Amino acid sequence: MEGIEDDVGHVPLLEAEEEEEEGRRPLRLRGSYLGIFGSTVFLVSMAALIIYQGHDYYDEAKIENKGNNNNNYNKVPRGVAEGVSAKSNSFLSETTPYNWTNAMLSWQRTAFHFQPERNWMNDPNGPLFHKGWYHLFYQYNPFSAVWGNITWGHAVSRDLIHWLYLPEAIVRDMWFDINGAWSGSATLLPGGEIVMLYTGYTHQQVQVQNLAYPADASDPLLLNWVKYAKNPVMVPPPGIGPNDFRDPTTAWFGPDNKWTLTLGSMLNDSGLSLVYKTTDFINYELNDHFLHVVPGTGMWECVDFYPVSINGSVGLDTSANGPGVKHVLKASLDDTKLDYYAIGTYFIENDTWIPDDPDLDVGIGLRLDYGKYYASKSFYDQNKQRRVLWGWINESDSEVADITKGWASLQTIPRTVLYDKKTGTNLLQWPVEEIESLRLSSHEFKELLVKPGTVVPLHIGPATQLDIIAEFEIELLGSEGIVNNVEGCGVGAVERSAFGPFGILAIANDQLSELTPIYFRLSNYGNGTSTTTTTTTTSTSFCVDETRSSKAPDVSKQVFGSKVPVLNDEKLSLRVLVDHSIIESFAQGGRTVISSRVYPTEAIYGAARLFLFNNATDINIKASLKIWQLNSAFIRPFPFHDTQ
Amino acid sequence: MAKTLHITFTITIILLFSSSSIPCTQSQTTRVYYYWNENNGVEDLIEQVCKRTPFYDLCISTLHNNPLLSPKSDIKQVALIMVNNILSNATDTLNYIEALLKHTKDPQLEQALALCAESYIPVVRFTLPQAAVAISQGHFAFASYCISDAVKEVNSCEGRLVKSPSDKSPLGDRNDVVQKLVDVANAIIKLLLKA
Repeated sequence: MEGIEDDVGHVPLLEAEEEEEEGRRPLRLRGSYLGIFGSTVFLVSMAALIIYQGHDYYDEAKIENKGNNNNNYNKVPRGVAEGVSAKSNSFLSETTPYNWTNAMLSWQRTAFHFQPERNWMNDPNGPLFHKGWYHLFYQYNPFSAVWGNITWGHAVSRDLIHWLYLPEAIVRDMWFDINGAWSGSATLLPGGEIVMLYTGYTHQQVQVQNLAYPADASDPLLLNWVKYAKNPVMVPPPGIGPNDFRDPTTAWFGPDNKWTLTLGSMLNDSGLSLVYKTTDFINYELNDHFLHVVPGTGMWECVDFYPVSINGSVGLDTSANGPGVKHVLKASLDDTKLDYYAIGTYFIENDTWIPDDPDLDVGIGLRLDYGKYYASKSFYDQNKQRRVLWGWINESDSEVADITKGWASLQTIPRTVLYDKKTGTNLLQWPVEEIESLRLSSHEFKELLVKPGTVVPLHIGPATQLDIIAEFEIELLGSEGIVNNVEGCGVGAVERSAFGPFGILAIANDQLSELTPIYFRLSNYGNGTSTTTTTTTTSTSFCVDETRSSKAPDVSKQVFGSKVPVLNDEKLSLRVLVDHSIIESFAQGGRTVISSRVYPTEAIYGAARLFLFNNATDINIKASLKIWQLNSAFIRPFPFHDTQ
Repeated sequence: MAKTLHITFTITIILLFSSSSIPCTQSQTTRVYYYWNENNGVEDLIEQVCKRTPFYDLCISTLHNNPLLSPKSDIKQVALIMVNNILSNATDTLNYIEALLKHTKDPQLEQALALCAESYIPVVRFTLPQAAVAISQGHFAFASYCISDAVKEVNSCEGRLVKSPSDKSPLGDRNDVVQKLVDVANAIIKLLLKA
């Protein structure tokens, strides 16, 4: 690796750092008083935010004891005090814990979603493809099922589905990461070298960026990693808070012959993305202007920045640029724990970016996923020329349950990301095709009629590991001209309207005492032959309703959803991956995606069923579906000592 | 008389000592390889290894008269030769698949061949070369994993081309040969793992 052994440029930098540190000492004392005050305000507002959850579709009646947490610092969510976003559902700690049985808890573990054997996981890190292997690293607590002691877990796979656990890649053993080896990204250099940049939380609780690289470049498993001896390579610049500086992106190579990367930060509640340039990954220059700023969005975590082809057919290398290319800027908002993205134009001459539509800017417009989803990160898969997106799915149950069952969190099935050239406003996400290797037997249903207010059982055998592809046709009943301007998801699938909700009921039991509806709800529906119909007055919402997913009171049960663009010539379509306690739902080819967690007490194992339902009042639904049973991915440790 | 007894006794002691140094030949045959000495031929090594693979004749014909084998060779070298042999066979098969793809007009065959190529490409580019490196470095478990992987990929290609026993593969017996060779290599590496 060039530059690592070259000390010539480094001595002046060291001296500069020491000078800065000495200058900083008195400031730090004053800073710490400010810090304590600031953190207090921050913590209280975090607790308040978590309790009130500012979500359009949030059903307040379902959450008990919501007012009790304001004054109790012990119940502050994990992570917040350390300067990252909240990593626990503290409001659940006041509800009476349900009597979870071992059977119920064991059922929750997934068959084909990546999760470690035990303990806590959060953000996906440094995903890459190298010498025939896909690598996934992830934020991991080796000691317990709650956030803390964060190191980099590591796993490999040939096909993004069948994962093999490897030993931890980056542990907290240096002053510059002793309080946490936090998130980061990989950059693959043209010569084949791999450079990893990650955030370290130092012994003095400052967020810094560190450089690491494989110990043995020829090892296909990249088992061992070396940390650059003179880390950190980036420290919070003047004006940026020591806890507002994290999650460096993959770097891209530009016409200035330099590598550019970005990382999120915040100034006065405006989320922003800082730009750094480097030629050797050791020395960095900070640009004087940001890549982009959006007022009122708060701290930007896990920023992601990458090109997409407007032709929409292949993924692009992170360094790609030119006509026919747009750039996506994405941020995870610390304040709301939601992932937002925007499509826009990258001005490489001065490293700025502006969104195509300022009303759909980062943090105020579209979300990658409207459910339980955060800290997503993409990478360019040079093996199959696609951009692949990972996302962290936290638990929605109580911390106590997580500790009892011994694990917490999942990753989504990796998704390909493409620009939706039909709408020009959305990205399309779709599970990677390799998931089809898990398909076993299938059942096909053609044009099943579902009348208003009815439920149709689908006899497919076991219903906890499924790949469902469905299309819906609408048959208007009775008179035209129904004015029905309802929008959004309502309070859930129980709320009837003329043109929705209708869809499927997943992880449901026979008595329908536990069920998770995944549905469409139209605001209007015109008669096909009428010339006065305009689709601009029709909005379609795509929703997942967790409110009756479980009888247990100590799990979070929300209605998630969003509008989804549906074009004139399109039927309503959805794809759903069911895998025990996680359901990933995709509408209109992936224009709108919702991930949700369900923790049923009865609709488990052989008691779980799948239904079609139509709770609209004025339409019949004709549904055509193909449903596959999915095998387990048998995710397990790499067989180093296999002697079968 | 005493002298004869003395001589007999000495001879007996000498015989006892020499017999204890003769290696045990009836215990697990894998142990034989450790005590291999230069007086036994390469042919015996090949015989002992190939006996433990599912395709004895194919194994023998691949290794027989191979210039890379010497009286000093061990199972590791045999495994390496086998893996490199598979790599050249698989590379040839992949080239053949790609040539067929260029010329075929049958869309169903085209699709099956394309999927086969997708199976072969990572095997030729990564899996087999990495298995060879792993064997030479003594990482037999990793090598075993790679070969098992290659087994799966090559089998999946066969499954796409030959749907029923009466089908004739467009690749002739090329894929079939690679399948068998990979099974042989798998067995040889398992011998290394047991050692």
